[in-house]
Amino acid sequence: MIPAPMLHRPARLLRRPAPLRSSRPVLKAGAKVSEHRLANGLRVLLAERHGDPVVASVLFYPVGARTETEREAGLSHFLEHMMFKGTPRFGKGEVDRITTELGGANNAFTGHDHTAYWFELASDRWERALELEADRMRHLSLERAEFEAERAVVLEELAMGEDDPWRALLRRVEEALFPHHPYGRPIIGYPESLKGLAPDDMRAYYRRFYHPGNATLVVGGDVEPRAALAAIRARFGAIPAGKPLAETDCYRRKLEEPAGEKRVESSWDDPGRRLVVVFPAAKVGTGDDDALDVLATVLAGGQLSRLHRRLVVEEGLATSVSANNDSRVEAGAFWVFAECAQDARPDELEHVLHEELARLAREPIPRAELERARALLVAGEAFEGETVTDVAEALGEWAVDDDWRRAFDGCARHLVLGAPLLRAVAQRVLRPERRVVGWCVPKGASAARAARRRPLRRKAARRTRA
Amino acid sequence: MSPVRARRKPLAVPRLPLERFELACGARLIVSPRRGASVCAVQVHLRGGNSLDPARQLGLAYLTGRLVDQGTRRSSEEELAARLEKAGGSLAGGATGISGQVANERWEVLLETLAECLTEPTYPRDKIERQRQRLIDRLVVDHQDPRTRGVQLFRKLVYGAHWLGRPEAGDAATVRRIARADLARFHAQNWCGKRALIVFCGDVAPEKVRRLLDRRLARFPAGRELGPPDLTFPPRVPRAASFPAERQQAHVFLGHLGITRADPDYAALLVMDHVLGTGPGFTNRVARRLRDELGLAYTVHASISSSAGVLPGTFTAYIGTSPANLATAVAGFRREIERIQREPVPRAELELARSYLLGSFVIGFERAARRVQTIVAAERNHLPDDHLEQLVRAVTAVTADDVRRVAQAHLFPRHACLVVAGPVTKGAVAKLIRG
Repeated sequence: MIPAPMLHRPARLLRRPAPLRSSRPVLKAGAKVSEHRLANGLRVLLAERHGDPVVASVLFYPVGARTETEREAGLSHFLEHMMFKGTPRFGKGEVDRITTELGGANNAFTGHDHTAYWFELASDRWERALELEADRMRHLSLERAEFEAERAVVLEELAMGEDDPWRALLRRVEEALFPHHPYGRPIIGYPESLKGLAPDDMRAYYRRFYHPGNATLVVGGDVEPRAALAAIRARFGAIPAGKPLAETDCYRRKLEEPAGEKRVESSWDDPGRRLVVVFPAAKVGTGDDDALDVLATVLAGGQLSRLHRRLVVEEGLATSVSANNDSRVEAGAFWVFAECAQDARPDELEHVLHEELARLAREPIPRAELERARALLVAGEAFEGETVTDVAEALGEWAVDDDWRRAFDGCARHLVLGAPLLRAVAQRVLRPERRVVGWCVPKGASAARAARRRPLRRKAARRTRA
Repeated sequence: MSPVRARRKPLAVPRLPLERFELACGARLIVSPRRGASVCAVQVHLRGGNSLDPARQLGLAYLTGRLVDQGTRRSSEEELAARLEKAGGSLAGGATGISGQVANERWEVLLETLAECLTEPTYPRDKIERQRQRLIDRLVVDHQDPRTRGVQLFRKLVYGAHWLGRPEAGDAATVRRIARADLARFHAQNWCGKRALIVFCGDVAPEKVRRLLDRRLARFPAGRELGPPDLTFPPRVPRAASFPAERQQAHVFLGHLGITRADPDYAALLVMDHVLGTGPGFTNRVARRLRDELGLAYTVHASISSSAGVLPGTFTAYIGTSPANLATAVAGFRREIERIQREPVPRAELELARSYLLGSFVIGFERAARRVQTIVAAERNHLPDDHLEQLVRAVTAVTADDVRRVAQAHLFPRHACLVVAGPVTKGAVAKLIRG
């Protein structure tokens, strides 16, 4: 019963905490995971796992390249850097100083669809991360001098990426894959876009997107859920709700179906010949997304994958191959990478790679191969959830981009996919007229010229395996 | 400002449970059981590594390890891979042995496959030719990579003719001279029980691991112990090298011969490193000055303790920066090194570094592979089982005077080697090293 004098207090002080909306715990990667939502809209995922005295706190915002205009290219990532530059309460360098004093680690990353800030701390002190995150969610200083100094650092980071032949090639290939769409722009932005940004641009962007209604906080590890929730609520509960991200916040033309194969070529001052073949692919969490995970594993997962066996081991056309199903919120990309062996012809490598992609669309995958791929996917989950930071990051990424319940699901989504369905997805997604082919060749050479220089060295290149 | 108060009792330092065995083949086995682990990991460390490479065949030890899984007397390379991939596992060999991991419930598959590769590799000719060519292709490409070349040149300057100055994987010319017979011979002579340390971590009873390995390694030859290592290194005098390449950034390496893990100043140097160049974020001086204040770089760090091992590591200050910033960056490194030698570290900075070191010991032991690496490193350096507790005590006792003293004793900014790889001329590097 409320004591009588209390009844005269202002209503806002009397108000009982708004009830939390909470889900029942689900077991994921050895952690009991539950979802909660504060009254101001902050979504909280708690992943309780007590193996080590460590807690990871990862705060996600659904912003990245996807939410930038062309003029703003790189702003999300630049803002991520500035989030370490101080607030009126915790001045410049304090986030790092406090984390260091506590013996912890912190960092952040920006992607196409989300930006995340993480702390890893011992479990007797992890709540300090909440204070820092709650404070910088709304009170970033964004001083001009700091803005200018950090712009120089971001430009150095961009220069570092431009010195990598793969990154330089992929930047151009991605532009061709997603023309006029933010996914086609580098997450770090362009020198011109970065130089054109002002603190006011960043302030407006920050105010628009950084608020509880737009954020997902994942706390994983050695925590007691009730106490953790109380701590989270004490730090974040008073922050006013904001307007959640709407589709109108994303500036883009509609993605169009490719009208034919595109080819991109760059050069580098080394003898490497680097090949990438990429297709516009699946939105995250769709059936196609799951199918493309399996197809990527059949193609290039492990020593017994098709591309490794044929291109690297049997025919010696490549020194390495890999494939990646890079699903995103609006449209994904299915990537295949290969490095051409020095004594092989680039056109021969490309031909055989296309041949193997076509085979996926032509023939059902034999049972043994499918079982191998599934086993790799299932076992991969053990590695992906080995640390509490891994678990928190995976849950947060799934939560922001789609649905966290899909994380660590024992690959249930993959295990039900049969060979006919996989073939149908390959037929639809991996069509030659949808692909972008990129080559990075030695300076002064070109992939086409290299192909004309020497005859095909073997007949076996055209064969396909059962 | 919101200072963190010293309100907590010190964290308990993790002491990994260890059970030690000597296998019949002469190998030492250490098992660190871990209840509830989802992943188990193993590492076989073989003494010798590329110190045993003949000068004309640099890369021999590396290739012997890399190709140890290409086939055995009982299984083809495909069969070995199939066994592991079914269990989601992997094995990878290198110059100093072989390591792998697998989902915990399949630990036997991992250890049985590992033992088979250790004891009876056949180095099949067709596989070897192709794999050797792959390595040569990689080396040819790496030969033009400024970052790779920068590291190689720096080690060459610091270590001179000592084997630590050689590239672990050799170069294209030396690898071309390695034949199948060389690999088989190197394996037969150097992969043996008396030089092997095996460390396993997972949710398995240690005795079970011992029984399996004793059985599977029954035919692993005991071999001979290695003699003491060569400890001859060039004197610390300024030497410079460059690798010119058209790039946006230059990779700068400034430093000299470092310390061994057994150095009595190790704890004080660990603290010094955190103040100078490895403290997280912008809490270290070189990151704060060169990155945060001057905006010269995205990556910048400096350390002497991180490479300390059985043999001396290096003191290395690294920055990746635009060519216009080179002189400022090198001068910045020198200034910060000389400052830490000259001025006692202020109390707040010292406390911050110590606080980080003392609080961070509990983090970083979640991964099985990381536990295994920690145990292997401790064992190789003859550290006692309570070495982390000892280190905590030593770090707690480090004073500002200690930091200044060890900085003076172990850092030589005016006798450092300098390598710049990227958009730079030889003349410019010579000018930089003169300061």
